[in-house]
Amino acid sequence: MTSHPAAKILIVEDEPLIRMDLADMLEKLGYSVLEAANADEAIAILESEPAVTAVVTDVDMPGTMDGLALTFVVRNRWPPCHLIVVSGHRRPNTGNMPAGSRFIRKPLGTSDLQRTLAELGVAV
Amino acid sequence: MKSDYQADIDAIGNIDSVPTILDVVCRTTGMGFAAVARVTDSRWIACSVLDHIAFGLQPGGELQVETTICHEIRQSGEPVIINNVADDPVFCGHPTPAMYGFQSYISMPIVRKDGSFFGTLCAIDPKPARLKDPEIVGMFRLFAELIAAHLDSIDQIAISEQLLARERAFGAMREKFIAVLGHDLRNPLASVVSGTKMLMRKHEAEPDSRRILLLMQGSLLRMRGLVDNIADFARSRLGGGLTLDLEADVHLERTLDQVVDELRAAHPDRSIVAEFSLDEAVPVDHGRVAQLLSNLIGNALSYGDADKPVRVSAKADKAGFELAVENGGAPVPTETLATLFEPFARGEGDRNGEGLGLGLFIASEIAKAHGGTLTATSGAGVTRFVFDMPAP
Repeated sequence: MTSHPAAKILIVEDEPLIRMDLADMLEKLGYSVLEAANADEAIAILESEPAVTAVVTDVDMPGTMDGLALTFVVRNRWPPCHLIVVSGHRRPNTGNMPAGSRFIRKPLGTSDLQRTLAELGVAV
Repeated sequence: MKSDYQADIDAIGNIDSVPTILDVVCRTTGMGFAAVARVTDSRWIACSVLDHIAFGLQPGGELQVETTICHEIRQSGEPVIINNVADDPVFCGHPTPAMYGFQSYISMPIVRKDGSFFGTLCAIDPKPARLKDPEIVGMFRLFAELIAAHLDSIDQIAISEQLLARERAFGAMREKFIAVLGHDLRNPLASVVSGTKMLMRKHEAEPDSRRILLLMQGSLLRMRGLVDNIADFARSRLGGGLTLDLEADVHLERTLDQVVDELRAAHPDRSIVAEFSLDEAVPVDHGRVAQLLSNLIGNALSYGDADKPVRVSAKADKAGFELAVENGGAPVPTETLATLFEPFARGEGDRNGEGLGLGLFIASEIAKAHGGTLTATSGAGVTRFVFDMPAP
C-alpha cells in the first residue's frame, strides 16, 4: 500500500477556539491542517507552502482584507486551490465569491466540511 | 419687521379661537374695536386686532404703555370697565380716553398659570356701551381665562415635545447598543461552543466530563437563543426588517435535525419526537427557520407538561411548507392565545421567570418575512404551533 502525504488545507479564522475546532475536525477527517489568524498570515503561508489543496476561511477578520477579498486573491494567485467560505452571516451574493467556491453557514459540523470537500473533489 | 415680542404675537396669532373671541366681543357689546394685547412694564403690543373704527392698530403695533389703562391693570391685576367716560367718577378726568377718543372701555387681565401677567383682552368704542352687566363681565373673564389656558397649553406641548425628542434619541441609541452588543456576543459564544465541542471529542469516554460539557452546551444554546432574539428585536425596532437569505435546498431536513438534536442534548430528560417528510425543495432562509423552530421547541419545553413528548413535524409538498410543534398540557386560555405573538408577552405558569417573551414574537416575524403565518391552537390537552408557508 503506497501512502501519500495528506492533502493540505489552510484554515483562516481569527477566533482561536473556533480555529482550533475547525483544525480538529479536518484532522479527524484525515487532512493535514495549516492555520492562519487573518488574511495576511494566510497569504504568507500560501507563499511559503507548496501545494495547499484548499483554503477554508471565515469572512469577518481584522487585517488588510476580509475573507471574501482573500478568496479572490487566492483564486488569482493560486488558481487550483479550492475555496470554502464559512460565516455566521448571510451567504454572499454569487458575484461576491469566486466561481466554484463554496459557502458553509456557521455553526458547522464535521459532516458539513466532509460533504463540501467531497463536492469539491478534495480527497484526503 | 419682526418685533422682539414676535413669539407672543405669533402664539396669540396661532390660537384659532382668538378672532372668533374678538368678533363675539364686538357683537355682544356693540363696540367697534377689540384686541388682545401683550403688556409688560414698558411695552404695550397688539397681538390680535379686530378694528371696525379705523383705530389704525395692527398686530405688532404698539402704544406707549404709560398712556394706556392696561398699564394700571397690570399693577392692580383687576379689570377696568367704563360704560361711559363722561359719567364715570374715576375716569371722567383721565387723559387716556381723551387721547384715544373712546367713551366706553373694558379690559380684562390675562394671567398665566404661573401667576405672571401676559396682557389684556380689551375693547373700546367712541360711543358709550352697557358693559357692567354680569353677563358681559363674565364673558370677558371667561375669554381671558381661555386665552391664558391656550398659552399655557402651547408651552406645555413644547416642553413635552422636547422631552419626547430626547427620549426618542436615547431610545434609538439604546436599541443600537443592544443590536451591536448582540452582534458582538455571537463570536465569543461560538468560540466557547467550539471549545466544548473539542473537549467533548477528547473526553468522549468520561461520563462525568460529558455531563458537564452537555450542561455547558445547554447553557450556551440558551444564551445563543437569547442573543439572537434580542439582537433581532432591537434591529426591528430600529426599522431594520428581517432580510432573508433564501435557499431552495434539499438539505432543509438536515437544518431541522440539527435544531432538534441540539435541544435534545440540552434537555436529556425530555422527549422530543420529530417526523419530517420534505418531498419538495422549499426556498427558505435556513438560519431563520432554524431560529423559528428553536424558539417554538424552546417554548414547548417551557410551557408543556414535562412528562409528555414535544412533537415536531415538517411537511413540504407542491402546496407549500408546513412546520408544526406540539406540546401536551393544560389548554392556553383564548385571551392569552390572542396576545402570544406580541413582544414581551409571557405565558402563564412560566417555570422560573426567565425569558424575555420575545421568542414567539421573533418566530412570527420570521414567518411573516417568508410570506407565511404562525398560528397557535390549544385544546384537548394539546397546544400546537404551526408555521405555514404556501408555495409561491
